[in-house]
Amino acid sequence: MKIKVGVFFGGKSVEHEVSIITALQAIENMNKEKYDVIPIYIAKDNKMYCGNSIGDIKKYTNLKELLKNSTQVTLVQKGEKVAIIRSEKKFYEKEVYDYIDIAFPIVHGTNVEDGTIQGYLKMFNIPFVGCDVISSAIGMDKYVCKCILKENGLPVLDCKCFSKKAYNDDSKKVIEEIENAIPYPVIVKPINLGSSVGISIANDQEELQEAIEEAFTYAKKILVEKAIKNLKEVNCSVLGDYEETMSSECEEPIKTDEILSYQDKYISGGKKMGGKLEGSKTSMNAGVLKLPADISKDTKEKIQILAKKVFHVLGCTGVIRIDFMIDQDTNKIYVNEVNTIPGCLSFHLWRETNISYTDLIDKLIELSLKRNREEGEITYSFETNILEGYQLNGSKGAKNIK
Amino acid sequence: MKSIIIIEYSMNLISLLVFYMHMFQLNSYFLRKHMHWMKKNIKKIMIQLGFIFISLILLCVNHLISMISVIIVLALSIIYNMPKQKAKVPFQLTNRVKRMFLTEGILIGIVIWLGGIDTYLYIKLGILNIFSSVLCIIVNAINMPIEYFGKQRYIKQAQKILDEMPDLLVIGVTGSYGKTSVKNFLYKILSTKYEVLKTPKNFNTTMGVVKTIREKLKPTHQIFICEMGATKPGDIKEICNIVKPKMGIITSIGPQHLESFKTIKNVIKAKFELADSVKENHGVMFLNGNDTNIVNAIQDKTDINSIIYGVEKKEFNYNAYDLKSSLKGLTFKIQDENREEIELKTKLIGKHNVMNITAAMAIGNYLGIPIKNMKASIREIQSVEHRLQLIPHGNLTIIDDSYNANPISSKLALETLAEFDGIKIVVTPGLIELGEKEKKYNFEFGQYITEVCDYIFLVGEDHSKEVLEGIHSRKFNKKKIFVVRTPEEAVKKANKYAVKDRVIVLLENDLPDNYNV
Repeated sequence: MKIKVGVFFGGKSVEHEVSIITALQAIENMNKEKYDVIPIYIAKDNKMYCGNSIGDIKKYTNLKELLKNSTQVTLVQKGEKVAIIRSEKKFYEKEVYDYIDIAFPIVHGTNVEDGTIQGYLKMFNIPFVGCDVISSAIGMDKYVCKCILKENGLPVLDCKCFSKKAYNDDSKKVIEEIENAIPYPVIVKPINLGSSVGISIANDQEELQEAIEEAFTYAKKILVEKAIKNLKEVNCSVLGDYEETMSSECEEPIKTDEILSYQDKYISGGKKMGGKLEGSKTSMNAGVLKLPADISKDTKEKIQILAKKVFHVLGCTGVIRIDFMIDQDTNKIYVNEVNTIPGCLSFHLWRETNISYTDLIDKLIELSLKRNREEGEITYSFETNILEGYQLNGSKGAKNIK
Repeated sequence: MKSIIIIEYSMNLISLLVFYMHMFQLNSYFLRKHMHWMKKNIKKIMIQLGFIFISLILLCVNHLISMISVIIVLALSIIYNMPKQKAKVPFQLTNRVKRMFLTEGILIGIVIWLGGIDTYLYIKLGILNIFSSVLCIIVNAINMPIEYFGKQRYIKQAQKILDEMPDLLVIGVTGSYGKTSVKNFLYKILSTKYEVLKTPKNFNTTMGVVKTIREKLKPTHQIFICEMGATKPGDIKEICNIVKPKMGIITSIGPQHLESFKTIKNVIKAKFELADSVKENHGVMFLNGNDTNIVNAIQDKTDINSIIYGVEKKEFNYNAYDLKSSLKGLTFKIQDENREEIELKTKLIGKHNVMNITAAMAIGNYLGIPIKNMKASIREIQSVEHRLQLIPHGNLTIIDDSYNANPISSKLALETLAEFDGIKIVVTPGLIELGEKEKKYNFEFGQYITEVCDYIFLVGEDHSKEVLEGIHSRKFNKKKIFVVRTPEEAVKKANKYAVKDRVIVLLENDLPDNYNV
C-alpha cells in the first residue's frame, strides 16, 4: 500500500503561477515507489480541482480548457480517512474521487501560505507538510515577524509600519514620521507579500510617496525601513522541527535592479526553465544566483546559526528559507524575511548540502507525520468528555452505575 | 378485547426479546456463558414466565372477568419487563444483532402464519412469549453459517491489507491483566519515533482486531500494537494467524475466565499461543519475570527467544527497583540490558504498573529508543480509566480499580492501598466469572481485605456473601463492615471520615449488567 500524498498548489495569491511550477517540480521528484501522488490545484477563486491533466505543466497554458476537463473537488472526513470528493458529481460517478493520507501544501503568498491552508488542513486531522498555522502566519506578516525576532534578540532593521487608513487620513504626517525616523534612501514593502511584489526604494520624498502608494495597492499595511546602500543578499534554508534542525548552504541572489525584483526572481529564470522543466533538475532561478554565496566562511557560519535560531523562534517545521541582508559597509547581518514555503522548496540549496530533492521530500513527509502524532498525543488526554459528569460518583464512567 | 391482549402480548414479546438479546450480547454470544447466566438468574426468568403462564391459564376461561384479568396481568408483565435503570453497557444494535432480529422476525412470522393467522393468534403469541428466553439461542444457531462466512470475508479483507504492508511490525500484547495498560504505554513510547496504530479501547477479539485493521490501518503506519484477548483456547491463535506478530508480550497469567478455561493450565496454554506464533515468525517475546505462572511455563519452553522484564530482580534483562510511592505517583529506577540506569517518575501507582511500564520500555529500547529518551513519555503516561486510577478529591483520594477484577489484580490493588497512610477503605461487590473456585477466591479476597483496610463497604449482598465469610474468618470488627446498594453510596459515607483524616478509598471491581439483574 503506497502512501497517498495530496499536493496542494495554486491559490488566490499573486504568486499563483510560481506555486504551480514549484509543486509540479516537487511531484516530479517524489519517490513513486513509496508515494501515490494526487495533485490538487487550487484555482484563483480558491476552488480545488483534480484530474489527469492537473499534474501536467503544459496544460496550464490553456487554463479554461484544463479546468473544463478536470473535476472540482473538496475534502471530507470519511470514517478514519480523509477523502477527496467530487463537488458536483454526475449520476454515474462515484462520490469519492480518492483518499489522501498526507497533505503537502506547496503554495506561496497571502491567502494560502499564511496559515490559511494549514488551518484548513488541520480541520481534517490530516498530517500536513511544513509549518503550522501560527508560524506560517507570522512568517507572512513582515511586521509581526520582525517584532518577534527583535524581542528574541535577533538582528532586524528598525522599521515603521502604517495602515492604509493612517496614510489616507494624513499622508503628510506619515511621511514626516518616516523622514524623522529613517534617513533616505528607504525601502517600502507591502506587509504580507513575498517574491518582491510591490517593493520599491525611495531616495526622496516624491519617490517615497510613489512607493507608498504602489505598496498600498497590494496590502492594507506597509512597512518602511532603511535601505542598505552597500547591500549583499544571502539566503539560507533550514530543515527540521523543534527538536532537530540543520541549515543548508547559502545562496546569493544577484540583483539586476536595486533590489531583487519579481522579474529577476521568477520571470527571467522561469522563462529559461519553462521549456526544460520536465526531467530538469535545475532551479527555476538558476540564472540569477550565486551558489554557494560569495561570503567568508565565518559569515556563512554566522548566517547558518542565525537561520536555525529564526527557525526555532518562529516554531517552524519542515523546510523554510530565510533571507538575510549584509550591510557590506559595517559588515552587519540582518534577518530580512522568512519564507515558510520557499520557492522550489529550496531544493537547490539542499542539493548543495548533499541532500537530494527526493530525500528532502521524504524528510518533509516524515516530519509531518511526527508532528501529527505528537499533536494527537496532546489531545489524547482530553478524550473524555468533561461534560459527561463529575467523576466522584461514577466508577465506570459510561456505564452509569445502578 | 382480544386485540388489546394481542397488542400486550406483542409488546411483552418485544421487550423480552430485546432484554435477552442484550444479555446474550453481554455474554459475548457465548452459549455456555449465557446458560450459566440463565441458571444464576433463574428467579427473574421464572417471574417473567409466571406472568405468561397465568395469562394463558386465564385465557382458557372464556369469561369477561378472566379476560380483564389477562389484560391486567399482561400490563403488569410489561411494566416488570421494562428496563428500570440505564444499562452500564448499553445494548448495541450491531449488524449481527440486526441479522438475529431479522431471523427472529421470520421465525415468529412462520409460527403466526401456521394454521392461519386468525386462529388462536393470542395463544400463539403467548407461547412465543414463553420461548422468548431461548429464541436468541436458537436464532444464533440458525445464523451461524451466515456469521461464519461474513467473518471469513472480513478476515480476508484484513489479511489483504496486511499483505500489502510487508514492512509493518506487529506487536501482540496479551495477559490476564495489564494488557490494555501495556498497550497504551507502549503506544506512548513508540510514538516518539514511529507511526504506531493500536487496537482501540479493549478491542481485543478477532473481529475487533479485524475491524481495526480495516478501518484504521493506514499506509503510513510502521507498527501495529495488537491487544489479544482470550475467553477460550484458540482465540489468540486465531488472531495471530491473521496479524502474524513478530514481537509479543505476555503481561501476566492469572485465574480469569475460568468458566470457559476450566483450569489455569489452559489459561497458560492459551496465552502462550502468542509465543508459539512469534516463534514461527522468528520474533522475540517479552515476558514478565515476576509472574510465577509465566516463569514456570518457560522452564519447559526453552526454545522461545525471550527478554525478561520485571521488578526487583537483578537478573532480569530490564529491571525496575527502588520503588517509592506517594499519593502523587511513583518514582523508581530502571536498568536496561547494558546496565544503564535512570530514575523515573510517573503519575501512576501500584507495583504492577511499574511492571507494565518496564515492559513497554523494554520493547521500546529493543526497537532503538534509548531508555533515557523515555523519561518524558513515562512522566506523561495517564492511567487507564478504572484501572488503579488515582483520583484526588482533597482529603479523600479514590483509587478507581473498578474494571474487571481478578484474584491477582485485586490482591495487587490491596497491596498498593496498604502503602498509603490514612484511613483505608475498600468498596467492592466481590469477584466474578471465576468458575468453580469463585467461592474460594472471594473468601480469600475477604481475608486479604482485613489485613489492609480499616473499613469495608460491600456492594450488594448477593456476590459479596463469600467475601463477608472471608472477612468474618479473620474476626474483623463487625461495626466497620457496611453493606451498601451502590458504590456512590459507599463513597458518600466514606467522605464523612475525610473531614478529620486523610481517607483513601479503593473501588475494587464493579459488576456488569448481566450480574445485577
